[in-house]
Parts: sequence; C-alpha cells; structure tokens
Amino acid sequence: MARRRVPAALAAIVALAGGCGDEGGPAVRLILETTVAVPSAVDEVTVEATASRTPDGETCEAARRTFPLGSAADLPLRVLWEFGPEYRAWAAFRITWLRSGRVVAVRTELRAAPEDGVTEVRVALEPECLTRTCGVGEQCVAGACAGLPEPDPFALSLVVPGTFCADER
Amino acid sequence: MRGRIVACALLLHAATAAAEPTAAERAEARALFEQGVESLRQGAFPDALGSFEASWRLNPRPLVLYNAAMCRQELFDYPGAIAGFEEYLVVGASDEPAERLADARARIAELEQRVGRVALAIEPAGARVLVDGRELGTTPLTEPLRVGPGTHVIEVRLDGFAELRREVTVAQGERVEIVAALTATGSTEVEPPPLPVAPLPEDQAVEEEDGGIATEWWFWTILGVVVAGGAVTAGVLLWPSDEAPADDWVLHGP
Repeated sequence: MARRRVPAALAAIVALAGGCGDEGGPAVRLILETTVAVPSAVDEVTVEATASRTPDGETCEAARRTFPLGSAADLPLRVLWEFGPEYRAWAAFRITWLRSGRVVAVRTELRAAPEDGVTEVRVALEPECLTRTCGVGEQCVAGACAGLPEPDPFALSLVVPGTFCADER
Repeated sequence: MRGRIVACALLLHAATAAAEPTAAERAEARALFEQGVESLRQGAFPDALGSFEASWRLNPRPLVLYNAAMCRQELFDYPGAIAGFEEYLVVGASDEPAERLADARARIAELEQRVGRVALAIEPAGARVLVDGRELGTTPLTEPLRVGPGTHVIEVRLDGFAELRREVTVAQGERVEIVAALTATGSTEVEPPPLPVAPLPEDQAVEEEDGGIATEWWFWTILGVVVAGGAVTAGVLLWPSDEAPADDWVLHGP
C-alpha cells in the first residue's frame, strides 16, 4: 500500500499519544463528581486520604488538600492513591463538600488494595444529600442514609503517630 | 438510508458494549490504538484504520470511531466516513463534548457534498443490494445509497429471481436512479429501462451551466482530496486528550 507523507506537525502530535497507561503498582483512584450546582450550592471540596498497614486499622496520619470549585468544569476531580510498601491493607478517603466555608456534606470511602492495577472509586454528591441528616455512624449515599465503613478509617485511635501518609504534609 | 445506518450503528454498539472489556482487553485496545497512531504518523492510513477498528472491537470508545472515520476520509471512502461519523454521533451522544459532536456534524455536511447517490426502485421487496460487492441493505431502500465519485457495480439478489447487475458512473453531487423489476427464474428477462439521471441540486446545477473542469467528477475528487488532507490532520489531534485525564492529586503512601 502506498504511503503518503504526514505533515511534521501531525507526526509530532501523534507521538504524544503514548505513555499514559495505568501501569504500576496497586492504587486507588477517587473520582469526585456531582449534579449539584457549582459554585452556587458547593464551592469547595476537601479530600483527606489515609491508608492502613493492617486490615483492622493502623493508619498513617491523613494527608489533606482543599480544592476550590469555581465552576462545573472543575469536576470530576481525580485523586490517585498509590500504595507504598508498608501501608497497603486499604486506603480511605474522607470527602467534605463546602459552600462559603460551611460543610454541606461529608462522605467516607474505604477500599482494600487491589493485587495489582487501579481500583476506581466514584463518589457523587447527590442533591438529596444536601438536605438529609443521618445519625451517628451513618452517612448519606445516593440520597439515603448508610453505615460508615468499618473500621472508621479516620478514627484518631487508629493512627500510628509520626507516620505521615504522604510527603504533602 | 440514514435511519438504516443509525440502526446498524446502534446494533454494533449494543453488541460491542454488551460486556465490559477486561483489563487485558483494555490494554490490548490501547496497544492497537497506539499502533494506529504510529501508522498515522507514517502515513499508512489503511493500517491505521485496521488498528482503530480492532481497538474499537475490544473497547468501544467513541473517539476510536471518530479517528476511524477520519482515516476513511483520508482514504477517499467518503460514504464510509459519513457512516462512521454518524455512528460516532449515535454512540457518543451522551458522553462526548458538544464541540466535537458539532465538528462531526459539520464534517458529515461537508462530505455529503463529495458523494453521489444511487436511488433504487426495485421490485420485489426483500432483495439484497450490494455495491461493489458490499451488502448495503435490502429493498425497498427508503433513501438513496451514498457512493463515492466514479464507477460502481450495483447488484440486486433475491432467491428465485435472476440477479440484476448494473454498472453506474456517478459524479459528486449527482443522483442516479435505477428502476427495475427482478424477473423470476425461468421467465423471460425484461431489459430494464435506461438509467435516468435526476437533475442536480440547484447549487450544483449552477456549476454545470458554467461548464469547464467543474463539470468533471475527477476535478471534484482531487479538490476533495486536498480538503480532506487538512481535515484529517486537524481531527487526529483530538484523541490523546481524552485517553487518560490527569489526576488532580497523586499521593504515594508509606
């Protein structure tokens, strides 16, 4: 088959296409999204991330970052936790949605480390969860109250002092 | 015809989307995509098309359809490119960005100007219609078939009837009609009427009045090739940005 020359600009651009796969060790990717109006209903989200070295819970000190939400284009927001050699029983995230500095919804998710590859965790803030009040030990999921993960991954009693979860802190 | 193509697209999508691809399939689909990109880089458009089609079968992502349609356009398969973009519009309707969907619609509109059409009025119903050996539907066809400029072999087949075979030459923007009735096997075949050529659309007719090379189908083919090259170059740029969005925060645990 005859081959035709491709413009140099195209050649340069298509060359960029490779090298963005999901290779590497076990990881959990948190993907945050919402159908709630941004920024009128939520204008900020804080993500805390931790991991445990045992199934029962011996966690590092959580890393924390706040992301301003100026428009719907700021979502989905993606956080990748790559397991290290020691704290690799599970990873957990606490997501706090805020408006004007006030908490409007909180969600906690815990996932065991996959043997390999990346586990994706999608967390959506539904409008119903802005108005629902759940009891102690519960959280709003898909508009209904549901139990928190066991163990509560952000319980202070589980933390191994001085072991930070990431070099962010 | 458009409805038939869209229906086929939906069937294809349903078939390919029935099972979520495994991690191995996703990896293979990605490798095939990268092969397609490499082929594109070398100007081997048939190879690129083959890679994109294989990638689609393993992991049907709308952008693969888009790139495959761009390859068909580059290979002068304008009817195939139109069908590909139409399929992309169907399967990508809910997830693809509005600008890219609008771009696909614009490309369809532009490509429609480069194809000719063959309208078939064939009795009886249920006969298979093939164009250049490729089956494109059964009679009655509700819309004319799109064909590239040039000469094509139209075949109509139905069990119990003699095959109808006609060679037609169609220019860009031209519409050719075939009106015929299949003859039952064993009966005396009736010579079909000559191929009447329908008037061109008004915008094409103006060019006809001016005469000159604008009346020749090969002129429009060459013009189309020049335009297509630029369009493909622009279109392929879209793929990488959608493949793996960057993470906003990456943490390496202890």
